[in-house]
Amino acid sequence: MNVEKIYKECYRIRSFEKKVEQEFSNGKLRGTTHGCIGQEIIPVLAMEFINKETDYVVGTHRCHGQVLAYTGDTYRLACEMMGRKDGFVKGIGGSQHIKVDKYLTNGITGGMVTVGTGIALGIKKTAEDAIVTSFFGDGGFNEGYVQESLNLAASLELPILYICENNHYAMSTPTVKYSAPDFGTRVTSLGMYYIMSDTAEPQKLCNDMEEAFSYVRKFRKPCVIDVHTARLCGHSKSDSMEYMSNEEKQKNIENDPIAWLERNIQNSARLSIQQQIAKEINDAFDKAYICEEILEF
Amino acid sequence: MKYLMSLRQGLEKMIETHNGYLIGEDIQEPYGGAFKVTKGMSSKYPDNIIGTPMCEQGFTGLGVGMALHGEYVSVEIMFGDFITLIADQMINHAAKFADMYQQRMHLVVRCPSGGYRGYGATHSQSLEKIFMGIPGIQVIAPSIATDPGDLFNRAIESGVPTLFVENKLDYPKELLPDRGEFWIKNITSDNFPVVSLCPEGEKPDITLITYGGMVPLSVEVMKYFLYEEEINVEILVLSELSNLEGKMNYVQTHKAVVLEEGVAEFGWGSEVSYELSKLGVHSTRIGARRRSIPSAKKAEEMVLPMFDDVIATIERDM
Repeated sequence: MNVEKIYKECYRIRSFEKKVEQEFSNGKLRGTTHGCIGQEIIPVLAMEFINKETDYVVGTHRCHGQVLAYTGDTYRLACEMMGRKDGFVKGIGGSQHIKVDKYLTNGITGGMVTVGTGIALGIKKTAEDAIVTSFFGDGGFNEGYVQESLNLAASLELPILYICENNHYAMSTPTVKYSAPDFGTRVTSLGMYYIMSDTAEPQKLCNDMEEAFSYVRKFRKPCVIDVHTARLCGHSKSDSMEYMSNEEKQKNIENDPIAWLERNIQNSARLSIQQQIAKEINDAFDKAYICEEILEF
Repeated sequence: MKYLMSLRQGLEKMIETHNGYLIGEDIQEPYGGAFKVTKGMSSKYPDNIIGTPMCEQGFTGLGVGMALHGEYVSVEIMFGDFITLIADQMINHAAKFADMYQQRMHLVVRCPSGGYRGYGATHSQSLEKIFMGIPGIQVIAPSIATDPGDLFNRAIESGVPTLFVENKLDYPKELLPDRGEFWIKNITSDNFPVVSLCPEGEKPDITLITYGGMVPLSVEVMKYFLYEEEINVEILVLSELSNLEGKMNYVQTHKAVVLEEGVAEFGWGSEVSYELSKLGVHSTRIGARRRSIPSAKKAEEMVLPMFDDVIATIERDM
């Protein structure tokens, strides 16, 4: 793993999300946002194994990290969130409705799992080498159509990697308490390959991602990688996280993968990246604020 | 030609032209679909007919995803009543990709609908109005007045995700243009045409506007008034239900009755009536009563629109 590169990508996403939080609290953004602070490394590592030329990626409502990992384009995402015409969807989509190249997402939890599974069937039927990466969350895992899609992918042997960004909470509801018996048992009972991983151990996560992608590419069969992680911010802008104990929050901060990455690169490199990203984010937002909205729809 | 055969030819044309796919429950051999529309097709096109487990949301999602990938896909929902299950894939996914992302999708979801067969409350409904008024998707209904297969091909070529509402009673019926009947006066050049049926040579006195499975009943009504009361009823058969723009200009009279099989209140007929009101055409609507559709024959006839209901309404309005 190129730790410096991974750190830079993760730090870009975190800085973007922090900026979004700040702009919301200053009353400069409207609508809603679903932050991914703490979870950034999942899409960043996934992108290390995705071929942007051929592979399709479908995402979730909590998509800023996925979009930035996919494009690196903070300006266009800022525009999209502000409803400006240089956004990926000309500002029509906003925070959670984005399509760019072969990446596509939407605001319905788990819904893109069904769509991604269909894209994988299209790929299989046309005998392409591509695969689909489908992000979803532990909340979405309990949606009925997600179970339906996993069954379809397993029975039709579709080339799709499902990446569960498992932050343990469906908004405020602890998913472990409400998910019988556990995700691993469900997935393996379908005869599907299942890998459990954790953002607290970035090197292992990187190895697990590599294994998951290799499996899908080699066998042209589905796989679920269940990446345990922690959301270090609220579910959305209106969430004050009363459902999480202070002990749990403290533990999550200690396990923050970005802190691990910082410990594993040179101090000078860290400072240089931080300066570079800070400028990039500020420039992106400043420029986005002067971009116009579309005039006709 | 029969309605079912025309439809099957339309499906085969999509497969032949675009290497398209059909997705659904029990559509493969030996079953060939609950209403036998795809009978024999999986032997002829084994790679193109994709059987699924019972999971309407999941396999409609397959259709949406395949269409996003560029395939031509038709999903069969066994009974129109089950379109409630696919509302999220159609309304929150396909429609949003089409309208918000300006994505062309060659996706047609077929749903055999309608009652009069004693199947009871959950296997007899006409629920298509749920999908009307949703930006990004269209609702199209074939009938015996035109060529259902051709209409299917127009829908799949349009690139707009489509709910294609067939009527179960229509499958074995002979198409009107092939009966050598003299009723068809005009088929408009709209991509989804409006067909007008009218007795020969006479100026119509009243217009009956309808679609799909109500066409055979409407023709009987037209004949009754022509032969029994010497009143000329013009029938307008719409096929594009979700877009009425300009279509009411085809109405040649100042009085209209709007007939649909679904519940009349808050229905398609209400929207048609609004369009007619803008043109100064007086209209009445007829549809099912707001009750669950009974299995018992007499009770079902009390709920669904019947020949006598239409006759009585027209007599009252003339």
